[in-house]
Amino acid sequence: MYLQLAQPRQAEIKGIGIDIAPVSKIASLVSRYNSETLTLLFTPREIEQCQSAPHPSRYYAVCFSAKEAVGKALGTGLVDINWNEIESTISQSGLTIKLRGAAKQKALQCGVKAWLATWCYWDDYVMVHVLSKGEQA
Amino acid sequence: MDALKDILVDLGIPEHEITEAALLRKDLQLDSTETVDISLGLKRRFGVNVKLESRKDMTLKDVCEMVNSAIAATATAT
Repeated sequence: MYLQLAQPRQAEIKGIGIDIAPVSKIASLVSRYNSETLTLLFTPREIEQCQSAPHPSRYYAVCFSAKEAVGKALGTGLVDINWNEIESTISQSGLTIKLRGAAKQKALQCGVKAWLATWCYWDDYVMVHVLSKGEQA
Repeated sequence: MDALKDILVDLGIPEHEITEAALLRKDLQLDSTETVDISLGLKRRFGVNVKLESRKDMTLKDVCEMVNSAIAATATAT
């Protein structure tokens, strides 16, 4: 009698993306445009989250940097992907990435099933690091 | 081109570097935040969404043509 042990499902790393953004530069950009114009770049939910955050500029920079990092992890940058199709939810411990539209389609084409993301800051900079994961049987 | 020139001058690009043939990345050395700034500026001025992230570096003339096409498409749609 043979006993076949179930193999644990292993996450396959599909891509890695890292981005660094200067907080003051993002703050300057955000301060010069109204919320409606900023929706070209951020989702309404991101804008709401950043505006109510203890450090709005830092949070805006994290959202911006996350979009760039996701583009890098997908291997195409943000060509053919709108900025507001990549949404970040920020917490003290990490970052949740949600895609829609062309960004979601691109991720599915690449076999991406999930995202792992972290962020940190120092001086005037934030850094976002994302891993895109597929799944291996 | 005048509106684009104003936006670029506001970003600190020297006026003499702003020519139709100037490339966004190679000649003007724009980074992603500056490129986004231009898109937001164009949206505010003309109400159009112009995406400047592309595989190929674009000249300012290319950007003007994209803006004109986007304005024409918006006018046709309304």
